[in-house]
Amino acid sequence: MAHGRVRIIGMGAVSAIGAGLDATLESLRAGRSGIGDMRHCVSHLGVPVGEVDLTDMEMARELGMEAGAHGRTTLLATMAAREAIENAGLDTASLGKTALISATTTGGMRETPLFYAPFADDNGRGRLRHAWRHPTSNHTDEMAEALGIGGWRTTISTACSSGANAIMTGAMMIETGMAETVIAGGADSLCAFTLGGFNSLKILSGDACHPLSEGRDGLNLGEGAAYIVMTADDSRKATGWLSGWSNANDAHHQTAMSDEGRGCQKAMREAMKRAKVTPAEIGYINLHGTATPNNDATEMAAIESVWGGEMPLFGSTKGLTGHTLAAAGALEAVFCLLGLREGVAWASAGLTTPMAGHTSALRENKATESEYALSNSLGFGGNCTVLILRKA
Amino acid sequence: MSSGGMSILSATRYTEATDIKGLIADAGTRRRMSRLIKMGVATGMDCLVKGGIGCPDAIVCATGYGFLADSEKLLGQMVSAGEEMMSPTPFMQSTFNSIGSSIAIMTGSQGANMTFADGWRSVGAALVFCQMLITSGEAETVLLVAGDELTPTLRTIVDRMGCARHGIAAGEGVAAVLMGREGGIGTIEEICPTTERWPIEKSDWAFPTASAMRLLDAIERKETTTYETTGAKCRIGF
Repeated sequence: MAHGRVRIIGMGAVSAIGAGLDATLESLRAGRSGIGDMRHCVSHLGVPVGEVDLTDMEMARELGMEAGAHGRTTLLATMAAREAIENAGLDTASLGKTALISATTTGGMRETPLFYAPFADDNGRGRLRHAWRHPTSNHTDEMAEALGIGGWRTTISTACSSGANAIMTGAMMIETGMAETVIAGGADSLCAFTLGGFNSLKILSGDACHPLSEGRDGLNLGEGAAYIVMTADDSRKATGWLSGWSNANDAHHQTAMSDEGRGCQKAMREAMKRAKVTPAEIGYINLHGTATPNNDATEMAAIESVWGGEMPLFGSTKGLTGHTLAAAGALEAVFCLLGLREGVAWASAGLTTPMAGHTSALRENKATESEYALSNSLGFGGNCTVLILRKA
Repeated sequence: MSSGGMSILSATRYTEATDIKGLIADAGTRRRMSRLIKMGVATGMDCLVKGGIGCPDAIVCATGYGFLADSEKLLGQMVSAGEEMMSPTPFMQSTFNSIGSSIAIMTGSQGANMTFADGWRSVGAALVFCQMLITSGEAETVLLVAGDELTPTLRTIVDRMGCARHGIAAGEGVAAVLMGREGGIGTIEEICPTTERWPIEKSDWAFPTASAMRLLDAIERKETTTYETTGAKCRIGF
């Protein structure tokens, strides 16, 4: 087995805290949140969101793609994947054989109302091109075509754990010899549908969110995309490693975790077993940490069951980006990789008073020499995915 | 690149005879479920019963277009009354992994739970994933559930796209296969990923997981054959 199991040779990211790794890293270092008022998305709900500060037109222009021909999820995905490809130094020939696993929860839903509103009035109305872009598979095809990614491809959708599941699936393909090089991650764009849906579940906060804090009252939605490039080709330089992964199910309720977070516990233990590390070797945990009362309580319970009195450094970065849904697992894996590379454990943005009776999440960025970081992504349907990243 | 085989413990499809009330006992749960989630959960549970497994180690789902009825209900609420008027239950159940998570809750399955929502590639991707779970030792038993629903809106869109002219028929259905290491009614072997992009049969455009129905057909015929779907091929053996 190599240094860290699956070799990572590149990554890319776009979120409310920056387009590209450099801008992202700068925001992480500064602890600068991207959560604020909606500027590009249109919704009746006046809640704070983690929006990517680019219009569709700007992204299309930047990418050399036809304006108005692609939905926002496709554009965000293509931005991040393009950076990952450049970062990995994949040439055209290699790209032609590279597999792509992309995750999304919204697909074309931001633009679907453009079809559905007139259609609902009169079934002869509504432009079919908008309906065509609705399915989750569409963004995967469009980004692959835009970037020349020619290998096997698929689209995963498991709610909030999607991006992490895409990465896990990519790693499995490499380990079983099903693919040599894989680009894996996820993308989601903010849209009225998702905002309305989360609002109906009463889990949105009306303020900038406070993960892992006493009195937290809900999450902020975000948008973005992130991809990592993994390969079996050991002639390529590793910028990091994916050492462990696991997907387990809480099997309790569609939108709430069991009190003890058993699915999360199982996934964390199994990921560490796969990585052949003990809890003590994990230097930093990037929690799912959405700032809903249920998530943070149950996730902390799960972590404390595994780590007992010896908690590693930990925090949530959703106070910077909002909850980016299918992008989250991939985006937060990128944050972990950046942290490992830079020797920093990221502060838990939005922290006010720590949760009573629990170790406090990190209030400031903290220098760390640790080899390993662990990232949780806990989705609706009890879907718990854990990724363990290792320093290069 | 191919790998060792999986045993087919049981295979079922949704039919009018599927005993939804027996398989999803709680009336309240049934009432809240949309058609696709009800068909999917019932067919999956039926497959487990027939295969004699109460709790699968892993659950892998495939759906081309997902929960269209619930999505449409929410879109309707949104465009007519605004985001504030959307309902929580259809929203929860419109997430693509709803069938997988419902079966996990009902069986207590805490293992891997994955959903491929990838148009006509969904079934192929799911098969590849099932293979990886079994050969990596991750799971001894894996339940695969694949399906799509035909809503009036999808039918209208299919008609407006002129699909009938091209012999593309709308359709819907759910198929489930329970796989394990040994001792079943047949085998699925040599699953390999393929880079085929297009639907294998024209109707896959309108009914993306139709290839899972063809997988069931092959299993029911009990003939050793090569099975091909977009994104994967394998051999079914008897």
